[in-house]
Amino acid sequence: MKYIKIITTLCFFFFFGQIYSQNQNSISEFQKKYSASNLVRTIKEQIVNIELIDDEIVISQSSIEESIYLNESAKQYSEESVSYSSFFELDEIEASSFSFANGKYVKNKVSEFREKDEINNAFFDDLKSLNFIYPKLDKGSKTRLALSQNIKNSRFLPAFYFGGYYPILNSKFSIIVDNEIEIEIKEFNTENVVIDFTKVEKRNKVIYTWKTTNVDRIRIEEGTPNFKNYYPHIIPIITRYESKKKGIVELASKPSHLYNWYYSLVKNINKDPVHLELKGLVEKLIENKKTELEKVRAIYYWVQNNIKYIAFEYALGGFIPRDANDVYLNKYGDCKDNSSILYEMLKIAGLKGYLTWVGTREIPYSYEELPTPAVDNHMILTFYYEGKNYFLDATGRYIPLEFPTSFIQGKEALVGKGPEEFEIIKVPIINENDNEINTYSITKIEGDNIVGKASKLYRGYDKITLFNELDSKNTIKKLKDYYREVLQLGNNKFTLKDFKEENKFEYDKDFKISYDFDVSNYVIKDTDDIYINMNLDKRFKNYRIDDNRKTDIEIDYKKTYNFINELFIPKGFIVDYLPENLSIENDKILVSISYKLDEDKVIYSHKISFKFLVLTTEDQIEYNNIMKQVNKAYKDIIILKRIK
Amino acid sequence: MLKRIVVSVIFLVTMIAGAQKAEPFYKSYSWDETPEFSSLETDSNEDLIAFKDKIITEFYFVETGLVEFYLEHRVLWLNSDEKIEEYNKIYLPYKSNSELLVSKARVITQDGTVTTLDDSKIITAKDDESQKVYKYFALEGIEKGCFIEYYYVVRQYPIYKGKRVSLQDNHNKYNIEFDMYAPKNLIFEFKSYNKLKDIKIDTLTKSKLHWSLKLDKLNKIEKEEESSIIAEKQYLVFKLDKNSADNSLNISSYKNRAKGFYKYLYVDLDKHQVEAIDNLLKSLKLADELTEIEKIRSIENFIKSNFFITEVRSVEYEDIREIIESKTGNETGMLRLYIALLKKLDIPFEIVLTSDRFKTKFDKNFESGNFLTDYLIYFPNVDGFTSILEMDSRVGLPPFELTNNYGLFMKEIKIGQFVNGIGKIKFIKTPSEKVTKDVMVINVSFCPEDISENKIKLEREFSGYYAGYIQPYLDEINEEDKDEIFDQFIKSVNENFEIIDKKVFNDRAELFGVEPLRIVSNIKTEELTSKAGEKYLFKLGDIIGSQIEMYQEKERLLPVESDFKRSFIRKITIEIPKGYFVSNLEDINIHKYFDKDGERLLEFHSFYELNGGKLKIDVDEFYKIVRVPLEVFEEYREVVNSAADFNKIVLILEPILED
Repeated sequence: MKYIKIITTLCFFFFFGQIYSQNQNSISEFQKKYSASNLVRTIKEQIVNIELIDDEIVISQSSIEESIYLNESAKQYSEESVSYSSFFELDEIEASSFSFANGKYVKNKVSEFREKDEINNAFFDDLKSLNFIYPKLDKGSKTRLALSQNIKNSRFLPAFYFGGYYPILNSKFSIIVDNEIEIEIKEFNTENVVIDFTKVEKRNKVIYTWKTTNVDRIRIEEGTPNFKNYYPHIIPIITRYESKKKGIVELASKPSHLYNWYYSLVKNINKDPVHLELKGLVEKLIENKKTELEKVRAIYYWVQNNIKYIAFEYALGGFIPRDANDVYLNKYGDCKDNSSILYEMLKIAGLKGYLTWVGTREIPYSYEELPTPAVDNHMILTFYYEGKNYFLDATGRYIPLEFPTSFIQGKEALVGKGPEEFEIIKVPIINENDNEINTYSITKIEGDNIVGKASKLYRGYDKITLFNELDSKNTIKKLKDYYREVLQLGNNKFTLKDFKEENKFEYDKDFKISYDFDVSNYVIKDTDDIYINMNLDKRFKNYRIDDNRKTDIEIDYKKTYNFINELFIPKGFIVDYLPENLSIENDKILVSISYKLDEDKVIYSHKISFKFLVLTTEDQIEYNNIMKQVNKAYKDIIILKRIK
Repeated sequence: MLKRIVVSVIFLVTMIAGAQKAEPFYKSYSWDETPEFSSLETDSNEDLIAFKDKIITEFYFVETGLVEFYLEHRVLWLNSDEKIEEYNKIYLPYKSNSELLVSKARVITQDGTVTTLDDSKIITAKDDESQKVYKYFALEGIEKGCFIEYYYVVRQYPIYKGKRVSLQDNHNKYNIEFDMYAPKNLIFEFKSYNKLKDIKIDTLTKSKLHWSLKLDKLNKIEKEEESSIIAEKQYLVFKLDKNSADNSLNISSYKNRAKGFYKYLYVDLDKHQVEAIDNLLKSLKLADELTEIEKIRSIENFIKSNFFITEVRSVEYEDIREIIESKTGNETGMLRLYIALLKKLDIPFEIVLTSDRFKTKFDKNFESGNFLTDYLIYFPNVDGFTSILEMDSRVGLPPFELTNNYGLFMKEIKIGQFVNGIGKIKFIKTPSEKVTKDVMVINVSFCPEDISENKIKLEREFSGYYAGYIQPYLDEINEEDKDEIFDQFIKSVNENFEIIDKKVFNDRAELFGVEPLRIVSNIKTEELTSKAGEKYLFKLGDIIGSQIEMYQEKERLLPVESDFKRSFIRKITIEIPKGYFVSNLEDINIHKYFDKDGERLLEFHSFYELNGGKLKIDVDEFYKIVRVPLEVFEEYREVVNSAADFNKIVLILEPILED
């Protein structure tokens, strides 16, 4: 421990000198150079010390962060918070602000730190934070935060980011590691960053150091995929160490090591006899179910409907599922608990499910490149049937057995099959044609209004999204207000009349809503002409992406919308003009618009499919060109002429 | 924030010492050992019904002084997933100086299975910043159609100078009870609001005072658009009025409160504090020739752009010298700072305490502390209010929720050598509709080469509360983000507008409340005009942006409570392309209004004037009242929806036929 203290002190001393050397001139330079940033991180340094003490790995780290504030928003950064937990103990903290006065910086040391139990993250959590206020922050002020921490589990070495939301002028990351301990370094998104790397061996230690300078801020916009996909960072992994007692101990050089650790955490759950009520429930649920799949379906939907989500993150408790009996009696649990009860209920039914670890789509790493707990954050249950995998995730509701939850589409799943036995498989991405909203309307002109009947059919993720929203529409007023919005055709002069719901809250059937409506003043009339825009569903009018956008965009799922509008031609009129048809397709988007005359009706058909989960900035150019044509087509009107 | 004021309760104690004491109510309070709910009449159309809603509060003397024992006891029937998810976690209202004495919870399923929560499962979380402590738990075994029952008793610091007890909620309730107990010398007063029945004194209880209100049923209240549902709920307010032991009267009166606030906020300055104030004023460099309002604005801008306001409760953020030193203060501290500065500058002011009209309307006839929740500063010479806490408030623009309401106005008076605070109830006016304006000046021309393309010059001005969303923050936004925000303002009219250029005026925080934020832009677009055979259709209405349509299918039950008075002024000039004329000009004329006592209070009026090839259109809209009574709701809706009607206007451009 002494060693790290010395290093920390040295750093403090070193930077103490630095902070006084910058002057007010550099602020205006920074302002010019980083006009899109409220602050510049002038120094970001972290030293991780990994030692073998008494045959145990001991990890401590110290870090320093210095920032300079470039505009009046400085005071908004006054409140700062450092979080810690049983895995990351906070050892020492020093925080100061430096205000610029009479040509020099004056240090204001923070003296009050206030502790807080963080309860917004999970219902029950060991996360705490230390909160404080930097005094006197102003344009040109600086702050410095120095921390030392103890990392209590060798699998949780944190990542170090060379770039981020703010420009970082000087980064330095060091790892000092005893010879008996082997580490591996994984680099992500560092292609465009010049890293000065050194490795020095000293006595029985190796010192690795990475340095970068002037890494500009990396923009994140609304809908940008997770920053881990863009920010340059490295993640150190302690792969193995040589123990005096145990010989070589493998920690994390390949996925099997991670799996074996995970397995050790779950192997002792569900050892008690099954609660009789739970057994009885399963028997009742699977009664008369002919196939295994139908049995799983009944169990899966019961868990979704009856076990409510409440998250618990307490030390290793964040990794160990609770017993199925408890989950059953409590009627609540988190993802691990849901997986545990599903596992046990399947077992009662004579079926085999597999506890499965998976990272949600925010996490870009694979198990092979990062065999540590940083690779995943979620647990589900996998069931194999007739050559197909089913991914059961009961934390939500209305998720059909055939659909994985949308936020794990395309991700790797680590399927646990027993001691030392596991498999890594890919969760499928659901096709755009399985997530559909189909709208069909028949309309006629009455005066300046249109009146009609319409139906809307929801399939796939769109249906799940809708059901989740309908859950809270529990009064007639709320329901009608909601439907008026989602069913709107024409414009906001739309009046929703009678409506009829079919298969509401059904897991396996398409949801359909039929309704009568009118839109006042929708029709434009001249002495002999009627002008009418057939595209009553305007939801994609604003689907163009901002031309100034700089980053990729991610959506929850691929999807398709179909809209057909049939309009009766009023007696005494003929069609004078129908717009041109439009049909465009590339590998990201499909659009078609067509007009057809069918006896006394004009039929407008429109289809649009979004065939991507992520649209890169290059894709966006082509996408916008297409949407521009679509918008133009949306403007087109048909002309009906009075027969003379 | 007011709870921070330390009030002495000693005088209450001294007189009662030695008297024979009855046990506090909670010692003998319990739920039924075996709950029996099967006979209750549930209604499957409802997703939540309260079958018991009991509150008991007791003021009680213990050795250390007066305390309050507070009980809530509820039985709720949960009939939807959403409600289960809302009620399966119970967070008890709790403060750091409270003590949880009893907490019991159980779940009773439809088949009668009872699961009682183990005490060990109550979780405690602390927050040293707000000095709050949370006690909470998750209820076990909840399923659709079950009952949950819980009750708890906390011993807490007594709030007796005025407290609101809400009884009505957004679900139906049965068996609603409110009971209050107090020592025999403490006489409370009560008032019921929004047609709630009056509470009655129970003369049968002899050992203490007991008031009781019982209702068999209370219907739910549902939110409607632009309504202040919390303020409209049935609730009662209680306050301590007399202590018969020492014959003190009007204990909760505003006269007494004003003295208390005066003492708390108008602190005597020591020499260091005086020096700090002097130095601060020196650095402010207020020129002598500035008018009073200019001085007020300078101080306000200076403090709002240089000081950080924290919610942390700590003496360092309440001491004037330390605040000036660290540029950080909390509400109390910042008030003290403002008061010291204004006094030093001899600027007359009053400290106002009022309530958020969307939560509780200030009752000028019942003096009670629960109406004194939010501070304003009033400057009588310029007749303007401001809030020190809010960035988007400047003199003349107080937070709108604190206007159109009464308030307690307090100021310092000198009588001989003595200074003290006095209070008076006065009305806080809402700034006029001329203050909050959204102005659009639009010039539209058609491209001669392609008539379906328009060139638009759009000048837009926001003032008053409309500017408050952005103008006061502009100094704190970096250039790139600012640019994006202004683009969004233009594109809020139409997402697909192509911005050719733009110029922004008055984009500084100090001009908020003084000059309007103004954005002038040139735009190109094909969004507005489409070809229809020989003719063109021009979507006139679209250039004012989409407008809200207010629906009302069921009978409206609550009056409209708007945020602020406002006006919209749009002046549109259209250069009709050569060789064309507009065949449906009459569509432009819309006129809807509401007058009262000869004054026009609400209006939408659009009309045109044709001058050769120039079509000039005026669209004026204003709302001179913020509270619209139920009886004129339809008139209000008509005016609001007229803008949505205008938004649908399409002009037909027809070629002029040559003879």
